[in-house]
Amino acid sequence: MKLSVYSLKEILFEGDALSVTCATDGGEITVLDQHEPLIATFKPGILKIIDTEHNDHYIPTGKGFIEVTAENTTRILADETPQVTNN
Amino acid sequence: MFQLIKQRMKGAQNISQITKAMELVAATKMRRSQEIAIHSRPYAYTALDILRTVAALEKEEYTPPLFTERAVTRTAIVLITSDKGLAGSFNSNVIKKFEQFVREEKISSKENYVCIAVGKKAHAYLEKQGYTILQSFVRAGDFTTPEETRPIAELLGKLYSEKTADRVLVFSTHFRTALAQETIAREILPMRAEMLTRTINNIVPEKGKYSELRSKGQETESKRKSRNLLIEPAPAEVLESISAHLLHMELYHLFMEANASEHAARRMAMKNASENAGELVQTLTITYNKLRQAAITKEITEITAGAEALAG
Repeated sequence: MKLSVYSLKEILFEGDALSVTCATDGGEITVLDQHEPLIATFKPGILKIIDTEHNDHYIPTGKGFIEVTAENTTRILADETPQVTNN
Repeated sequence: MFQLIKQRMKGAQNISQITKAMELVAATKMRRSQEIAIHSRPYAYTALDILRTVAALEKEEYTPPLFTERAVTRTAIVLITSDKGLAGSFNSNVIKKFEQFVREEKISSKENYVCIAVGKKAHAYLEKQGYTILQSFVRAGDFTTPEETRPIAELLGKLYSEKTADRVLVFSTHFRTALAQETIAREILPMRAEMLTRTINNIVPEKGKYSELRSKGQETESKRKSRNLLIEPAPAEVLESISAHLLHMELYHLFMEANASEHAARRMAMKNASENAGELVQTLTITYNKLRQAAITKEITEITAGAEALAG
């Protein structure tokens, strides 16, 4: 499936992926190929993406939205992760 | 006489130095805000596209308040301008667009209109014209952050869902290129599929980076209607939080575009000002030199005439 992950500042991921896992407000879901259309909100956390070469990508995000369309496209809009300070 | 011209020359020179500096500052700021605006475009595009999907949904189950249309009696108007002047026609274009709207709608009483001013210029204008200003957002700075636009989005959402306003119009400037900006009036509430499509087409640039999104959006248009959408966990909650968040994002994007446009407009204005000052210096220098030469010639003539008179 085609996956794009956007934050306001940058494109976090764009390309083909086998699966994406994220913690929605209703529980953790994994979106695979040909998933049925879906809109959900998710909590701050880490997105796990497996791309077509079976490489794992871990992307920390703030809260956001995930949309799966009937055309096998998944789009994720994520807030910036809150800045972590070391002090 | 000499002193006067010299003073004016100095003045013009100083002006050209200042305007040149301002031009450089505006150019740097423009580049930065342009970058921010352009980087937020994929996000804004996707956000609006999701909104459009939601707006096109079958309305049987649940319609979030921000999508519900109703008869218009009261209108909320948002004017997005800058705090600072010296930006050419940037602010006056927004105001002109608004005045044109006032003429077209044949607004006689200002009672049914509440205004939200963004930027000191909008505030000053609306106050002078006697509109009800609900709230003013000034001193937003050169680069608007999502935190700064959040209260505005919340206010608009509240106005609409509490039925204080039946529609919300935003007058703002769209950044097309560094040389061309366009003032656009948008109806952002209620959220309607057609209006969102229009905004999307505005956001997606005509050419260059991200322009491929333009054709992509049109392809999926026809398939959009006929599908079942799973909304998790509960449609009401999700749709409400989505519509509120995405309204904020839409507004934020409009601000980014306005920021970039402001700096671009200021850069152009300052560039023109420096050029004019340069021309002025040139003409003044020529006048000064001519006068000086004339004075010298006159003195020499007097001396030679005096010498000849003595010799004679």
